[in-house]
Amino acid sequence: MVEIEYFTQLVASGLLLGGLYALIAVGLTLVYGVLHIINLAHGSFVILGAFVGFWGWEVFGINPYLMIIPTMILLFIVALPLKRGLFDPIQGTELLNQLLLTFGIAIALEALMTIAWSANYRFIGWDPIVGAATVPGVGISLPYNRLGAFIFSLVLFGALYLLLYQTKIGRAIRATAESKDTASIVGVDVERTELMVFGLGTALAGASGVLLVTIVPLNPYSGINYVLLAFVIVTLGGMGSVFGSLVGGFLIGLVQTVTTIWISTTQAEALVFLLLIGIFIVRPAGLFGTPSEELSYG
Amino acid sequence: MGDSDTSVGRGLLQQDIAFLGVKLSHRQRLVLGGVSLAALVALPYLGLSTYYLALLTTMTLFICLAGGFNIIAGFTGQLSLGHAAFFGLGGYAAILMWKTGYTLYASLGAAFVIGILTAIPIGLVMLRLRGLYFAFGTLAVSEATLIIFSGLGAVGGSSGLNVTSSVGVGETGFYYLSLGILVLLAVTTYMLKHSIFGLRLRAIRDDEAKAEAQGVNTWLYKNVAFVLSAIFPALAGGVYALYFAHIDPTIFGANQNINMQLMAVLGGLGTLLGPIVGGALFYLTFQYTGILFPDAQLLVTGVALIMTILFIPKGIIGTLFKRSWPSQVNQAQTESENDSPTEQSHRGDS
Repeated sequence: MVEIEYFTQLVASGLLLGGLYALIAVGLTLVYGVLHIINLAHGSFVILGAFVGFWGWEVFGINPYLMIIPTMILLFIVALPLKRGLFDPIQGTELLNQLLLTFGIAIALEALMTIAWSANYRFIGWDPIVGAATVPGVGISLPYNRLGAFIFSLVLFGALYLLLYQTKIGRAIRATAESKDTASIVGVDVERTELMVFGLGTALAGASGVLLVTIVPLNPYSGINYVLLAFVIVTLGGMGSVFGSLVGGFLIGLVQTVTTIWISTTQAEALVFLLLIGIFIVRPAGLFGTPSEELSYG
Repeated sequence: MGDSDTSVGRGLLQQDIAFLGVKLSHRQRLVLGGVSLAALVALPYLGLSTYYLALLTTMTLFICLAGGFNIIAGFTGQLSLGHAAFFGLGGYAAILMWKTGYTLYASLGAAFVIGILTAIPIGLVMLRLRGLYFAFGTLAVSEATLIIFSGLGAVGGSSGLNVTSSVGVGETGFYYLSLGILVLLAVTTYMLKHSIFGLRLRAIRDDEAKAEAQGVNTWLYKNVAFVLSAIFPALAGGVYALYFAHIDPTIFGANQNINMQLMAVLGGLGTLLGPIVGGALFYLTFQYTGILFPDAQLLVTGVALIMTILFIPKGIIGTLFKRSWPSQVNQAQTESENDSPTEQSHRGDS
């Protein structure tokens, strides 16, 4: 039997990780909800953000948490022409085209990053966040860097919530996600909204990247892992559901961490894929997706 | 009525093709195919250096990968993003058999059998899903297999397995082996194009609900196509592993999968020559950028994918070749739909 303390420690670690996972996934689900495109390059944007954050810290000594906003702005700007040039032509086309195009973007981006910055692993080993806080009484340790990533992820989630539910653009986004045509009829500028959402999704990916690289070392090729992870979370939580990706993120974070009791860390990664397959069998629409939604593009 | 029915039937399955303005009848294309095959078979005896022979062998194996993907994605419309799994599984099966002491043909036979035996359950589970979910499901299978094999000591873990004893067939032997698989692939694809089975697969690809409504047992056909499409990567994997005398879990990775998909799409999904052209073009480019600009290799793949999807989504063969119905069908069509104005405007399309 496992020590209760050990178990609670794992649960705490899982939750800390889950918050960040949710942030990684939410950009993907936003873009899908409005544009109906699964952006396989999402993971590469996470890595791009991570590198931008890393260089800001390494070269200019900027506090990594302060790099979040500039990274988001940068990625937002980068995303706009990409959307117009690469994503618009494939909207509404065959699934194969969308997946392959975004996958092509993903590997091209990773290759560019490797050419520019080499394939070395990067990590923000910033002194103030080394070490851990110990929760008195329960005796679980919360590493500062994971705690920081967790807190900032939730802050960004909160900001996203405010954006979506308290602003005009947020209403436009939700309307377009629900029904493009109806939104257009009531006066929403659909094209501009789509552009905004894509930029936002990419910016969030970048932000999650900055936080991610304070926890784990990353190199340009780590992108694929994270887009697959994001996809598992988004599928679990329901495509297009922001709340779903929050719940899904926590669940996956928990599953990954807790299962390390029984299996190694690498096998825990495989488990996530098997979990995905399991979800597909049982409830493809996910926890918060609408079951009536078309499951295929035909 | 009977006459126009058979000519329509034949027409659906045997189209005329115009290539850059030159019209080729079905018979002419068959002859061309036969001549090409004869040339390929004779190649080793025409004094080709070992280097080029090896190049051709590897290229042929990659073409077989693209061909397998073509069957499930191009003909049946199911996007199997993890199809390289069968490539790897076939390879591991062959190497394990060989290392245990079995003969070459037994090892390749094992690759074949493993391909089928793994495709059946994977197909049964995955094909319940459609579109995007099927795509990610199969990708998950491939990635999960990678992770599992990396951790499995019995198959060499992340370093994989090596073959120490020589297989003994030489460069020429491997060339003929891979050519053999290619011929098998070509014949199968040809039969898919010219059979009712293949026609039904394409019906499923074009509109699954409609096909089902018209009485096609989509579940059965999809599963059979899936298994069929797994055979070629599995066999190719067996030859590949024994040829390079090595296999490791990276064969299950995203790179291998992406290469397969790019080759097939570049050449043209749903065509017979597509995988061949796409495979050849991709492989040669890949090799040369590998020699000249190793870092850029991956970039080239990515950009090639992007360019292909944006500009020639039908692939090279799909865009270059214009298909048309033979004149008999044109007549039969207009006879049976004589008052439909839309059909009148389609008459004479070629």
